[in-house]
Amino acid sequence: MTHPEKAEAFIKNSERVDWHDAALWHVRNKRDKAVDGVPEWEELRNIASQIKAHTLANLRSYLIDFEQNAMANGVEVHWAKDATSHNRIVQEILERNNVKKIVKSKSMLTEECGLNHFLEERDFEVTDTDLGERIIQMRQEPPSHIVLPAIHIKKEEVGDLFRKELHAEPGNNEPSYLTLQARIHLRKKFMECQAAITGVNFGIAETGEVVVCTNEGNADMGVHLAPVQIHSMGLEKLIPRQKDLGVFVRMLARSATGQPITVYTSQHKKPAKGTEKHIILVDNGRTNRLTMEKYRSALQCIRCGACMNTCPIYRRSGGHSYHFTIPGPIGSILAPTTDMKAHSDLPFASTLCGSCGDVCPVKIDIPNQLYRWRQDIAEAGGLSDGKRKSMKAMSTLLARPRLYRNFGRVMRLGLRILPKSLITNRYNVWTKGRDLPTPPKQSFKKWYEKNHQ
Amino acid sequence: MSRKDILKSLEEAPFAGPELPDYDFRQAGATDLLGRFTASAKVSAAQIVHRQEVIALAGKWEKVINLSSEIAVKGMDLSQFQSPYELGDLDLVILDGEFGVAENGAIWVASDGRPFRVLPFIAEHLVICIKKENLVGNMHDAYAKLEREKYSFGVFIAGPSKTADIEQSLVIGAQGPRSLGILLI
Repeated sequence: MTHPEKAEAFIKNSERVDWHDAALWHVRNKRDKAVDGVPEWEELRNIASQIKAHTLANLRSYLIDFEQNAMANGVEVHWAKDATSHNRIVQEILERNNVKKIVKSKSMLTEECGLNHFLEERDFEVTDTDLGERIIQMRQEPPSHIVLPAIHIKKEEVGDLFRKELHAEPGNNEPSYLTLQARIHLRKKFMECQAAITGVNFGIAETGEVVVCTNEGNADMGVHLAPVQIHSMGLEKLIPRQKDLGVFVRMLARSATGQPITVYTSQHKKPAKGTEKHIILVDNGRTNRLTMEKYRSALQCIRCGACMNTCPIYRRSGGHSYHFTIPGPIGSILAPTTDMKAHSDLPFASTLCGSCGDVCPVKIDIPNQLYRWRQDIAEAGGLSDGKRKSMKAMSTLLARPRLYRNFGRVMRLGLRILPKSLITNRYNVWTKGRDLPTPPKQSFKKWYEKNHQ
Repeated sequence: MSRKDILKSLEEAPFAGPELPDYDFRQAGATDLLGRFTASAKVSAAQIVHRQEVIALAGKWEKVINLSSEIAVKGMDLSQFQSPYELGDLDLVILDGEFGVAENGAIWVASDGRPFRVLPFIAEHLVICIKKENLVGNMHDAYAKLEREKYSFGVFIAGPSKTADIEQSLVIGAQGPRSLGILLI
């Protein structure tokens, strides 16, 4: 199913769409307030973008530095060229240590690799320990947002879920009560876990340490209890110096949720005595993406989710409409680099309003890349018949001023006098869920000639 | 071999990038660090506590671990625990933080010289003691300080654990401590 088809199911419930829209806009507003408190914000964005671009251009040598320094810290470093090889490495570590029960904190990378499914098929018990992640794990669905995985779910639904899964009391849908039930449940899981898996926000080449940012404390609970720790890290998470964390830590939480910093910014260097620590460096298409000059800067992403919160399409179509691990604007430029044909609908899930580019802390030119993908997809013949024909008709029209003027005159009249059923019908997809504006009496050209002579 | 493959594909498709930028946003000579730190800590839902309050809190709870050298509160002897899994029902942990950051109320807590890295995360309540003279302006100052320090594991803690995963409603006390008290000395 394509984005418009999936979105159609989501927008059927307009009350829910409004609620989803407002919840994310609220987060966007908090982000603005937090950003306003940092006078050097724009400078930080430039520097963050430069650091990331520099690291990507020198990734090979930084990866080797990182590996050496991590090994010197007593960490075992693994390399995985794809999802399967990542999952096998995890399996091998777990089997070697006779682990059956694993706790996992939020990681879009393991989501991308399908790790949970892979491990469950092999009879491991994996528990996601971030509250939002645990909710969607119980519902057996993917996250709909990279920072707020359960943003699409209402508290009543969480209440019903917890009554079924955790025997929560009937009728109590208070977030504080439900969170406490999850805390009690997850505490048990922590006390039984034999291994902990985390994602990585930043890997530091010069020190070999990995940084994990959370609000709940779930990643730390697992990592510091379990004798086996595995940090799965995409190659692009690397930054050169510890000093550079100053830039990124200041930007990440402000961009994501409007907090000046996450509650926990945990910096893992050496394993604790008697425990073993593993870092898995995962490629899975990243080095290939680096060869695409037009699209490589998408690898600068620090997964803050700001582009989703601000996107009018994301807010009104929900994360699940994107059929890709990472939804929203950044997902729509990442997805086609893995398979352009399969994701040729996603670059069109945008108004090209440019807001995603404005809020991006590492200045990825998301709107331009969306536009470029549209061109590449059109050139490769990836447009639907309807879209291709209407684009052709539009370009014929826009290239002929006289025809355009006449067409405008006919449309302005037509829209006023024709019955609505003739305009708003199932053949005109533009009017699905929205109305056309009342046409003005005269064209802009006429108005301009009259008022600005 | 994944390692060879990854490094080879990076070697085969080189491209130019910008220089690593130099920058300095440290707040040299910043004033009112204490006021700013206190305000930020409150925003993070931490409580600024007095010595008497910590003593009262410790008296209220049964399972208390005090690792702070700044406050005399009787707690359990840590040496009776063999593994971190035995710490699951602690009521209160008191420990010392190295330094605090004014811009966000975060406190750096390093694990070295202390058993059980899980201690700042596992108790129901946490109190961190920190010296007023050990405050810095922002995260750039913080990392300038850390450059000179050796640690095996360290964490910036800003407030009690929290979540807003259910309908964006802020709930204090997710999987870590349900309250954070900061004792400024």
